Amino acid sequence: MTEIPILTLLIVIPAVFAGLIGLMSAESRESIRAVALVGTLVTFGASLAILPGFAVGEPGFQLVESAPWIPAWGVTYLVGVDGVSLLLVLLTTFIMPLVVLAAWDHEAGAKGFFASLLGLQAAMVGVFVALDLILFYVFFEVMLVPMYALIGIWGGANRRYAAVKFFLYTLVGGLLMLVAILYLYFAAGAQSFAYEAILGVELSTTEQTWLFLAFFAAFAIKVPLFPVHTWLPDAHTEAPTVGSVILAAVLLKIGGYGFLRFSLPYFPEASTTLAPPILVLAIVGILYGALVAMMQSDIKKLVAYSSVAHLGFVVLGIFALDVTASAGAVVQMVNHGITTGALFLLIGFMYDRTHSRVIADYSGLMKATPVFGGLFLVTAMSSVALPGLNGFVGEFPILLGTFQTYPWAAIAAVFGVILAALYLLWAYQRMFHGPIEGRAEGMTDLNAREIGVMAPLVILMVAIGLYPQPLYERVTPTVEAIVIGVEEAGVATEEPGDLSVEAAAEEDSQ
Amino acid sequence: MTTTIATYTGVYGMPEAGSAIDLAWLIPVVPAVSAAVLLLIGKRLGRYAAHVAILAIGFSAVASTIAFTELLALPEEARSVISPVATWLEVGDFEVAWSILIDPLAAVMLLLVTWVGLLIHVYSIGYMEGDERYSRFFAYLNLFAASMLVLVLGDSFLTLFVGWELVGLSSYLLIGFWFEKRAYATAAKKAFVVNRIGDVGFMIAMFLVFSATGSLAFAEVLPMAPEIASGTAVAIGLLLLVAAAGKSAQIPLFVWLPDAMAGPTPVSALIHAATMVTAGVYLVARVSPIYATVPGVGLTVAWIGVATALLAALIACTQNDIKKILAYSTVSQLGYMFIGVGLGAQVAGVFHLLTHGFFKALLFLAAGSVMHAMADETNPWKMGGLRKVMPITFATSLLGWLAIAGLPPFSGFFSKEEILVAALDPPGAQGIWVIGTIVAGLTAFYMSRWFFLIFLGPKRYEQELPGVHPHESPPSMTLPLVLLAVGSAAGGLLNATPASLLRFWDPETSFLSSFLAPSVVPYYGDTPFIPHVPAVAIVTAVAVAGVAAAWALYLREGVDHVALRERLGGFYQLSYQRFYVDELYEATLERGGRGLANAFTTFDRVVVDGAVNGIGRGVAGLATVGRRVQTGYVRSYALAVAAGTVLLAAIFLGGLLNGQG
Amino acid sequence: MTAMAVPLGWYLGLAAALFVIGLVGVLVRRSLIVMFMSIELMLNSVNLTLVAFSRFHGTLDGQVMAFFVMVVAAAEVTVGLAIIVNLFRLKASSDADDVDVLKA
Repeated sequence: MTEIPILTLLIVIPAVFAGLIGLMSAESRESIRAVALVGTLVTFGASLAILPGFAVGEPGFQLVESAPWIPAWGVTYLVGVDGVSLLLVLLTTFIMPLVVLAAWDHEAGAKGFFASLLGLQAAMVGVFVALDLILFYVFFEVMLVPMYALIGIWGGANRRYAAVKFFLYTLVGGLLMLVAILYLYFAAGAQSFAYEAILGVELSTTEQTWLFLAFFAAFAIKVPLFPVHTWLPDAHTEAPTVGSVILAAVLLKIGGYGFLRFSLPYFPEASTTLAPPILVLAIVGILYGALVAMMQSDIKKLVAYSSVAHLGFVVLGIFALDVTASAGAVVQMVNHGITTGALFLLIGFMYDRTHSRVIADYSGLMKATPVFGGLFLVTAMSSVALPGLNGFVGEFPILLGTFQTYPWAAIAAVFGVILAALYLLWAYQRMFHGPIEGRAEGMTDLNAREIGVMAPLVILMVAIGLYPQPLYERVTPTVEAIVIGVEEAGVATEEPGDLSVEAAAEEDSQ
Repeated sequence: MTTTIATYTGVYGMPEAGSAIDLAWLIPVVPAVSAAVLLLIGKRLGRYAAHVAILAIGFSAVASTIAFTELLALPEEARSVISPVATWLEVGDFEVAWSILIDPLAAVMLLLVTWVGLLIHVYSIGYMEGDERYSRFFAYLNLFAASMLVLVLGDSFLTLFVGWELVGLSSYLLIGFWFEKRAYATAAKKAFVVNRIGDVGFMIAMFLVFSATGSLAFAEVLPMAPEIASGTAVAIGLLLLVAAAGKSAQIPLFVWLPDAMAGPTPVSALIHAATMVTAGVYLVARVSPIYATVPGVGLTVAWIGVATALLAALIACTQNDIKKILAYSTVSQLGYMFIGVGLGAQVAGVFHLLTHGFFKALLFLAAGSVMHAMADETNPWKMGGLRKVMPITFATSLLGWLAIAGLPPFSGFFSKEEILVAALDPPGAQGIWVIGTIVAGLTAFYMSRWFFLIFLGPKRYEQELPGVHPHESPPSMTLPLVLLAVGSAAGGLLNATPASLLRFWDPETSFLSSFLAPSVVPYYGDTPFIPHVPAVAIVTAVAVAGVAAAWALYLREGVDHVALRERLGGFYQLSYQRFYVDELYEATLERGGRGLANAFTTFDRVVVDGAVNGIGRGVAGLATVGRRVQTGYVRSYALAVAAGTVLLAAIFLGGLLNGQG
Repeated sequence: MTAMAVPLGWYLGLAAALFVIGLVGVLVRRSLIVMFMSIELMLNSVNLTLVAFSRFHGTLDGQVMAFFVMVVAAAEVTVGLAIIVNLFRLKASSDADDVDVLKA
């Protein structure tokens, strides 16, 4: 039906611009960054064109494009979006121009740097729109390369270690997933690698469990879930600002996305039985991440651990197997992208000026740099889920929904709310309050470009906080279909008595 | 005595289009917008920032008044009006709207918040003059007012919670307004975090409410209250109590309020006396249909209230900081309000909330006026004899003092007595009356001490604070004092008509009792009205005794205070050191939490990350062993290849033969 | 199956013998040139096998395959000799055991 293949364009445009930068002279830094900005802006504009064509309230895939790729092996080029991936695609395309603008003054190896950013964007969009498992896997792994470069080349002092750790972790998870994908195709007899073809594969309980665990490994590492989270603080600390922003805003979302896209629909039975232990891991992540965050002396590491805690909420919502909670989890992924992205940007702006991320090096920033202080406070409040800002409208439905299915999990997770306030406000108090001392002395306030980068983010925080319906309208139908699918499968296996009645009723109606 | 539980017949109407009630959403929105404007461009407005802020809150005050009169004009059973504004959240079965609920309870709170708020805005013109963040202060005040109005007007648990949290944020900003001082910033954080502990209770209560009723809107939940399983209702009641204890500074979460005095004095008056801290009382009154189904929980609320009242009053007796005394007095008075709402006498509780709003705001502003005159000194022992120098502050404080001391016919007398009388009837509450009476005596004592030390006696400041020449404050500060003094003196009329002064609050003729009736459910519905004259007389006598004791100790000459303190020994120390509650929390919660966090951090580095790096090192170790195979001699490689081939061939051939055989 | 003047087993025996001679040559000799010739010997033993089977089955597949092997062998000789010549220039020796830079 599509006249213009928008989704393909979203992958191709950044890739083309990356290639364009590759052709440019390494000396012309100004024109390179301008091309990068134009590239990301064009992509963002193109991504907005999805919205009118996207029917709100439809659970399934829309704007599907397909082309044969390797027909002999059942591999197709198949892309499309549903409510969940739509938001994540838009988040990606929205963040990237800001990222380029934030890195405006980047100097070392600008050509490779900006080309990596654009290449990364192409892969990230690809991951979210791919509807063929091999295609998904390709994008999933391709993404690693520019990110590895961003950390390993343009990172901090300990960048090698962090980059390798990031790479190995993701690769190990990815390989397990690849094995599971191949098993689904060969052993379980799927006819192709297309998303929906594999949906129809019949699996025994044992098969489901093992395959679920293989996919789970890949996504749990990406999220990251306790105890496979330790690559994240290192990667965040060593990555350049924009690397951290992309990592937090987009890359971590692939885990949650994968759970919703693959784990739940493909392995409903295993998802149901394994949900409680996963919830426990999520809760441990929430509380543990928060407590560890409290003790960090490096503000960037603190935010990294806060990500562990926040994404624990996301996993909690997804595996609560409740519509409200899961929809909340998707919105919370977007919120976390905006908020934590903003926090990393702010920390980056500060680091550019003073070259320190040590909390103890600062005091009285609120007085020295009021605009910076104000924006940081708003962002921190969004991060601690203050009602009226975006964090709350994601977190609250997660907790409320989780309470309906697993009350103990919700109650345990609520305590994370206090801890979030503790560690962020404590850090805020140490850095921003008090008399001007240390590196705060003589620090200049944000300039117009930096305020320009922050403004869209802050506006979104408030707008989503007050009126999140545009997000929920699109997400809820998709999530509802997924959760109902899991519930039905759960009923079918756990309560055969009910099944016979329902099945009979269904047969009658047909 | 009967224990019949009255049922709540909530009927909610829609507002007439174009009426003030219909447009009530503007009441919080205007100050919110003003706050945003002031934050963005306030610096450029200079002194006019105050005018913008006052205009905004003034608008809300006038609009609230119009809405109130409109409500009065409606028939009694149609006085609960919901005006929908917009949808907010709609996720699966879960729906919450931005809607405004105006009923008598909300209307009364609206008036208190907006008008006292307005007076404090006006007062701040003078008080904050010359501050480098002048416009930001007014922005925060506006933000606070807007938050409190959201809290009052919210039509569901969740919208109330929005206001609840935003109030916490505004409080954080205002307490830490002079954040250059580390102690102030710490106090701000403490307030926010302690409030958040209470919020956990609120959130879990909301989950339970939603599980039980499928909704969070008051209009749907409250009429269903009797259908909630009693176990659930008990849990909801207790959890909401935790929330209310956090916001209203009750045991065990009262520790933040005295520290909150770090904020500028108008903030103490607005937030920590008149409005924010009353939110917990408001919440308990708001959900009275739920408490009505489980009166035992209400009794717990009341006991917490009276325990807090006693503890705080004991502490207030020995503090040497005029704002701290008022802070502990606030905690203590909030305890009274909890007794009221806990025992199902919500009208009495809300009545005390209102009168306390007047006289405590007055006393705080008067304290601010004194500090303004004394170069920010807060130790009353360095003051004395300010009666002549600050006549308006003195006269208004006098009325505030009489009101809080509970002497007739000032406002505090009526509201306090009404609460205590409520404790006479319900089973298991008589002890509350006894302790409440003692607290009334203590209140009269410490407030008299406060008043006498500041305004009467010799002018100690001439020696203690050389160079300080106290003077009366500017009109922008004294005018609010005068207006609040009128309220403090005459506030009792809200629920006690002059014609029935001896009969006190006659439900038939008293204004508040009849006006609030549709909003609240008294738990002990059929209790006949009894004047309880002897009881009232006893309480009043105790209060007078408190005043007399203070007079004997602090106005008579020749009392050796040092010797007295030594004679009291441990008791004095216990009270002066605030019963070591802060130290206790620090030793247990704070140090425990920090220890846990440290342990986890070490665990993360050593065990979790250690395992990862261990795997890495393990692989490297294996490789060290494995690399010995690499001799570098081509021939040994070739031999390995040949041997491998032979091996494979053998295996395949073996398999082939086996397969055939 | 076509009848063969010389039975298949003889061919295979000869090929196996050639292969073993080549293999032993590679393993025991140290001169790179000799090792290289031994490898050629092994390749040709395989060629012999291929052709023998091709004749035995009466199809051309094996002979085609033998041509492939020859082409690859020719390419290998080119590259291999180039490597040996370069090594000799570098180390002034054609002894395989003198080249152990890959030793761990």
